Amino acid sequence: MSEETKDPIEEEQTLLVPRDEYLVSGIHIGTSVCTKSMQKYMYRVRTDGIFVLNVNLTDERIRTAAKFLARFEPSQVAVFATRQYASVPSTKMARYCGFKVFPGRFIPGTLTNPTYSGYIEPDIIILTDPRADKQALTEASSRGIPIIALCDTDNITTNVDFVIPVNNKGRKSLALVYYLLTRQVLIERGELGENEDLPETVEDFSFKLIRD
Amino acid sequence: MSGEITMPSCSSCNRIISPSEEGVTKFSCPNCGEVLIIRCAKCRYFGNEYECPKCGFTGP
Repeated sequence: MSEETKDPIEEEQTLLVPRDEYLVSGIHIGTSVCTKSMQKYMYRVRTDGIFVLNVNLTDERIRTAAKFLARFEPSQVAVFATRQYASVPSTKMARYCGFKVFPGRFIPGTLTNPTYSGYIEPDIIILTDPRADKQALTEASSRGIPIIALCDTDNITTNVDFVIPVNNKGRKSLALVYYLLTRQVLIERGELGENEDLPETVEDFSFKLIRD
Repeated sequence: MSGEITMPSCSSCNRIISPSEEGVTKFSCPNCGEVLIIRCAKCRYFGNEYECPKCGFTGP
């Protein structure tokens, strides 16, 4: 076998979860728009015009992001999630890893106004969507705080220091990304074994839809 | 005086960064963690790529 073609079984083992699990959660589904800054993470364009993200790159980025986050003091990491679907996964991640979490509306001045009671000075922040969490992005960039962001194909990576290319709109997709990030951060810290799983499943990380 | 001062420079554009400059961020390489990456406000705004000289990691 030549060096260029990889054995599919070997490739499967290098991913954090089986490829099918990635595809079922829709982590690779982008939007009908692809910005120039996100083109390098794109895999192909579907016939209906939807851009598809490269799952291998997403996997690689999640690993690197976990390595990056594990080097910081847990209390100095802040997670912002304006999107409703990200509120549960981000809160669970913060609970396992000891991060600070701000689900829902971002109060302006949280990162810049020292007279505000909820003022914080984190060493690094995680954004669920640079467009939805624009105020947090602006404040963090003015203060020189490094920013990790989950970016979809329609996001612009202005002021973002580390991009994780994923579908940041899907309920299952967000649950899987936060689950994998949490697990990898704990593995990097040595609090979890290499092949161990979290006590909760990906399903527990997802936002629950209640229907009448 | 024989002491030399090394001024910090942006990892993307190599421009020297003054101490009073705002919007500059400094962090260790996300991949290897051994090299300090410095990004000036302009390179952050335009999303210019940075590269780790040790492990070759490119971001953002």
